[in-house]
Amino acid sequence: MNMAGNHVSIQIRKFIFDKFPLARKQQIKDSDPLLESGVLDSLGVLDLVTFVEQEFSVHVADEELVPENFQTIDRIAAFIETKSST
Amino acid sequence: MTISVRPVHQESDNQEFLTILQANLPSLPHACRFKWLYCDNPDGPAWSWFALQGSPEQVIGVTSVFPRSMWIAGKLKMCGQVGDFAVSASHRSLGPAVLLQRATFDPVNKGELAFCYDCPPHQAGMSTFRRLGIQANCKIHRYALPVRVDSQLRKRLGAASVVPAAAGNLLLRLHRLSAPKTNAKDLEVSDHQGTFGEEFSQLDETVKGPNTIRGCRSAALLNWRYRDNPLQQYEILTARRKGELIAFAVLRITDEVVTIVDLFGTKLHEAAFSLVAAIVERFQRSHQTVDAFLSERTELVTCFLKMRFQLRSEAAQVVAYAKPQSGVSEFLQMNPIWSFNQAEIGA
Repeated sequence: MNMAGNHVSIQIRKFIFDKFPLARKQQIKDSDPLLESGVLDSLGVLDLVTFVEQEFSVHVADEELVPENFQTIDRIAAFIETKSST
Repeated sequence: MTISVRPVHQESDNQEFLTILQANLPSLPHACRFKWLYCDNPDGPAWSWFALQGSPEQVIGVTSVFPRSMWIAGKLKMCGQVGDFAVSASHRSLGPAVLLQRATFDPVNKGELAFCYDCPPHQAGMSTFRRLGIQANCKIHRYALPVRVDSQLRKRLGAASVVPAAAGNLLLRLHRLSAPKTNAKDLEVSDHQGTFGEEFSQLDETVKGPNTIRGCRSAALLNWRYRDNPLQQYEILTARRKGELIAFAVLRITDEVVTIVDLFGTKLHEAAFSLVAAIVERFQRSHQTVDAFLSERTELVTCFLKMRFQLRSEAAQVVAYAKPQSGVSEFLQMNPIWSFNQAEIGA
């Protein structure tokens, strides 16, 4: 991951750790699953998507709200990078 | 990987349909209730959709809309209730749920339903609607009337609970007796055995509010919902004046709680008091609590509070979708009264 990607990961991690106590409790790593572990539920994803759209000025379509894009912090960062570059 | 949504064809998809429901909503015996709930509803069969992903396609979610005839401002219209909404745990990333929720709007957009409504019981269930920019139309609250304290005290105090429990039960009884006495003396309350007859359909047609939305309670629907239900048995009480049906109550009875599933009729401000008084009289020695689920801004809320029921919790929100710019959509925006209870939000 490049410098920008790393910066995105840091922001995502900070948001998730600030917002979701279970992430802090489980000391989630960037590659750990967020959905199966229960860190994020549907409301959590909604909050995260709102944060992503506002913070990174990207639009997330309903069809893009899939585990492939929101499963882990790494994947969220990669998704934002892809969106930002298109 | 792309997610797609398609209608469920029960002839060919039934096994997969029941499998995903059972895996994700395990507390319900789906196979036992399928025919009754999805096929035998007098208002018509349900619509269902799968959310699919991958190649070969894997079912990752499911939802259905159950037809419900509703009185909307005094006119009977076919609507739909969203239910059996389930997404596999590994796919609860909101996208599949939003796509499924959009699918439930299809019969409305095609003009087959006046509106469809969902009753999320918790805030997480509101996430798809928040994503779609749709707000709740009303809230349903659970009210409870404690009639005994034995069970609670026994759990806390064990054998030492006998005297405090007797005192507590007496205090609860005194508290209830201090409520205003407004039950009409000329109303006769009795058990209703057997099926619902035509008089119930007639009662349903006489109760009309110009600014109200409520479920239809025709005899056919009542028989299907309460007499043909394979999972649950109900007790019915009627209130009559000189033999004429004025109101009725439907009760679900468990070990400790009596739930008033439905309470409906004319002159409810007096009939409700008579029916609830009869319910309390009957169950005050055997049960701990009488529960009721009531939507906000209805006359029943005032009645129940006068009868010493206490507001306990938010039970559900009602979120409705009508075709944009339709007459129904405009009516919904006028903040009508949703006269809902457990009958409208349950199966």
